[in-house]
Formats: sequence, C-alpha cells, structure tokens
Amino acid sequence: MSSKFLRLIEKIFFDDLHYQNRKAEQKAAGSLVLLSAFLCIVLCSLSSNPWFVSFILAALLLRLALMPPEQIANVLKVTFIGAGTAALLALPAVFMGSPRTFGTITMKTSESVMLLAIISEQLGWKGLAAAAAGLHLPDLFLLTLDTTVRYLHILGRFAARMSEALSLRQVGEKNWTTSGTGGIAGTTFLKAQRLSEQNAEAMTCRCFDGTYRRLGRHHVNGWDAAVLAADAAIVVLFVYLQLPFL
Amino acid sequence: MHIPDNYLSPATCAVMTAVMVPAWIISVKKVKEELPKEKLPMLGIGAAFSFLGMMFNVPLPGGTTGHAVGGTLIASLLGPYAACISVSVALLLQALLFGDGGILAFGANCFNMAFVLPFTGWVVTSVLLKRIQSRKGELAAVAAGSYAGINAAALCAAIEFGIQPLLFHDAAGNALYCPYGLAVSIPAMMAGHLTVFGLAEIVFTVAVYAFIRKVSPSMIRASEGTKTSAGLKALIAVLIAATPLGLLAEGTAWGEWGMDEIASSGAGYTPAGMLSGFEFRSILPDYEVPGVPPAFGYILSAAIGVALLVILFKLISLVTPKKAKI
Repeated sequence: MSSKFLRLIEKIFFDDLHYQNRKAEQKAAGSLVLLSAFLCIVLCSLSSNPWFVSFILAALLLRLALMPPEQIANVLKVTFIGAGTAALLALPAVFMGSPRTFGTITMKTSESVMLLAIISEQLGWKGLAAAAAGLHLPDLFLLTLDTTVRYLHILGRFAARMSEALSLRQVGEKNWTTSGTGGIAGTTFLKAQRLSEQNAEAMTCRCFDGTYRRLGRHHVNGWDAAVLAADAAIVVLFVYLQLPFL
Repeated sequence: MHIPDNYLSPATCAVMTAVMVPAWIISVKKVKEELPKEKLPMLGIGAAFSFLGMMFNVPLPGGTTGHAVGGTLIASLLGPYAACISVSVALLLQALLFGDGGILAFGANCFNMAFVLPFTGWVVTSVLLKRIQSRKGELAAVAAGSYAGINAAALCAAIEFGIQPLLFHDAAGNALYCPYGLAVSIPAMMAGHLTVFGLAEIVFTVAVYAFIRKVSPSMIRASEGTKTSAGLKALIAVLIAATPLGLLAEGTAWGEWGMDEIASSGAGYTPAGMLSGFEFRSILPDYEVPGVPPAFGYILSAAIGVALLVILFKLISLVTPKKAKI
C-alpha cells in the first residue's frame, strides 16, 4: 500500500472525526440552517433599504464573535476576498455618479459571502451534503456535489504537489514549470480516472449505490424553534424596513 | 465623560496622547507577560461590557446625563493593564463608528477612562481586599474601587475642561475652546459623578462582577478558564437588548454639547476654536440609524460594537506568537 494512499485514508478519517465533532457541536438541524441562509440571502438581495442588510450583518457579526478564533479568521479571509472583488467590480459606479450602488453591492456581497462562510465552517462539506439531503434534493445532484467537492480538494492537492516537484527539479534556463503544464494536467486527468474507479469500488464495498439515506433526528428541538423564530423576525423586519420604499 | 473634538485645544490633545503612549506600550507588554494567549479573547468580553455600560445613560435633574464605564470591573477581572487596553479599544470604536468622543480628544478620553479610572479603581480595590477577606467584603471593595475610579476620571476630565479658558483665549478674553473654567467645570462634573453616576458605576460593576463570580469564576484573574460561559453570553445578549433603556435619559451630558447647543448651555457664545475646528463624520453618529426608531438603532449599534470588539481580540489572540508566562 503506497504512502499516498495511506495519507488519503488518514485525511478521510480526520475529516470524518472532525465532522462528528462538528455534528456534536451543531445544535439546529443543518437543513433548517441552510434554508435560513437561503432566505437571508434572498431578502438581502431584494431589500432596497441598506439598513436591513446592516441588521443582518450585525447579526452575522454577533454569530461570528461566538466562533473560535481560527474559524473567525477563515470566515473573514473569505469575506474580505468576496467583498474586495465586489468592490473592485462595482468601483466604476463611484465614478459614474452612483456611489450608493457601490456601497450596496459591496455590503450585500459581504453579507452573502460571510453567511455562507459561517455555515461552511459550522457544518463542513459533509454536513452541507447531509443538510442538502435533508432538503430532499435529487440524489444524483447530491452525489455529484459531494464527489466534486471531495475531488476538487484531492486533485488540487495532487496537482500542486506535482507542480512543486517539477519546480524543485528545474535546472538552468529551461522553464520546466511551464513546459510541464500539459503533463501535470494529463497526469491529473489519469489520476482522476483511477480515483473515480476506486471510488466506485469503495461505494460498492460500503453498499452505497448513490442513494442518500436521510438519517438523524426528525423532531424539532428548541434550537430549531429558535432558528425558525429568527427567520420570522427577519421577514417581519424586512417588510417593516421595506414599507417606505413601496 | 466622552470629551468631543474641539473642547480641548490641539496642544492639550497632543499632550494627553503623548502621556497615553507609554501607558499603552507598558500595558501591552504587561498583558503579554501576565495573560496567557488563550485568555486574550477575554479582553474583548471586558471591552464589550465597558462598551455596553457606556450606552446606558442615566439622567440627572437639570437635563444632563452620564453613564457607567466599567473600567474597574475589567481591572478587577483581568487586571489594570488589560483594562487599559480594553477600554481604549472600546473608546476607539465609539469614536470612529459612533462619533461618541472625539478623534483628536481620543488620547484625553483614554487618559481619563482607560488609565486613571481602572488604575485608581484597581488600587483602591486591592488595598481594601488585603484588609477584607469575606465574600461580601470583596463586593464592597469592588464597589469602593469603582466609585473612586469614576470620580478620579471625572475630576481629570473636569480639570482638562477647566484649564482651557485659562490657557487658550482671544484678546477679548473669550475662550477658544471649552468656555467653562475650573470654578464651573469641577462642580458641574463632580456633582453628577459623586452622586448618581458614581452610583450607576457601582451598580453596574458590582452586579456584573457578582454575576461573573457566580457563573464564570475562572474569569476572575485566574490564568485558567478561557471559555466564555453560556451565562456570560446570555448576560451580554440581555444587555444588548436592554440598551434602548439608555434612550430614556433625555438631554446631553455636561461637556458633550453639539456646536448648536454650546451657546445656550450657559456660555452665551460659541468659541472661535470650535467653529473652525476639526470635524469627523462617523458611520452611525449618536448610535442612530436613519429611518428606523432610535431603539432599533441603539440595539444595532450595541450588537455591532460588541461583535467587533470580541472578534478583534479573538483575532489578536490568534496572531500573538508568544506563549505568555503563567
């Protein structure tokens, strides 16, 4: 058994353990959290009142403040990248006499990215797949999403290692990194094919035919009720703040 | 007690900031030495309490208002150096985001509320704690410390206001900045702080200290215990939700009038230095959000302020490389 394969198994075990820990920490149902996030993003996009987005941002900041420092840093990193890109794209609006649009777009993007980053930190990608399964999304869609996220990570790391190995072997003037791009892409493709076969075998071993079973609790607990109450409050706030614009 | 811009001359502001620089440097050094890295987020919790305490305005007959600061509370929980940093950051946030306290006067405000207040409170509390060992005695010592701390800070602010007409005036004798001399500023500031505002500081400090001692005793100056208890989180949530109570107090605190109010406050004129002074527009001036009731604006401001303070100190704990000595 190769060391790479052992490393891969270790990574999967680590992810599983991490997922179990996250699951234990998570108090509200993942599907409900995902739906609430969707509701927030839609309402923020529809809102003409910038203060509604500010209220949501304040709530998200409070949620973020409760997270461990490492997770806060991860969320802020993603949020700043998202907000920075949005600001860059909306910058012409300032010079065309609409600075308000610049602020609105940047704020709404920040809110959406921060919300998704918080949920991603809170649930993890396996948790997100489980939450999506809870929403009764088609199994084929879930399997594609699940494997895509997993292999994006694995193949990305594989390609990065190959690129690093090539750059370390670079001698003299010849740019091995550039000339090896086709080779890296081709090898990654072959690796992807091999991994997909192994994945299919692993699925067979674990009696998984691509059908996601909806496990976990089905009753509504206090945390779910709190999320539902928060959703109701957000809708009321949206309507109240939207009235002057109607 | 938040001195706005243009009440103190730029020279006074520069001197006060220069005085605070070594205080900040020593405080940062001491906190790195004394507090473990894992406990640095507690500074954010302390700053959040101070920030919230300052939002609860208490009225005084005559139309003026004041508030608790909570500097002695943080000093009692985490030490005076940590209190200096926490209150300074809370004041910076208030000045930048909410226009509460001036940008130029930031050094002076920090000197009063982040240096004089916590250190005086801590010294008084420590001296009394050496003599009193009982549980009730501990609360009495914290109460006495908080009362002494806020009054010492108010006295310093009154002196800073009061020396302005003596040092900075035009040929006609009109003050360029704060128009009230020591004979007016000291009684005006101290009357409120020796009575109602001092009492508010005692109530806020002792109530929160007693609560923390009950629900999260490890937070009280011990090096262990780095997790914020659920009770503490609940207390912060309740305080955020209750901040609109601060709006019940009508009127402006002494020495915090706007440009349009200073002449009618009894001065009879608007000093020239104020008319041509520095002006800074904050994002949410006076904790108000346009288009929504003031209570909502207050809650939004409190939530943003608390969240930013906690996040900031958590991030600082992440980038602090050195393992502090325990």
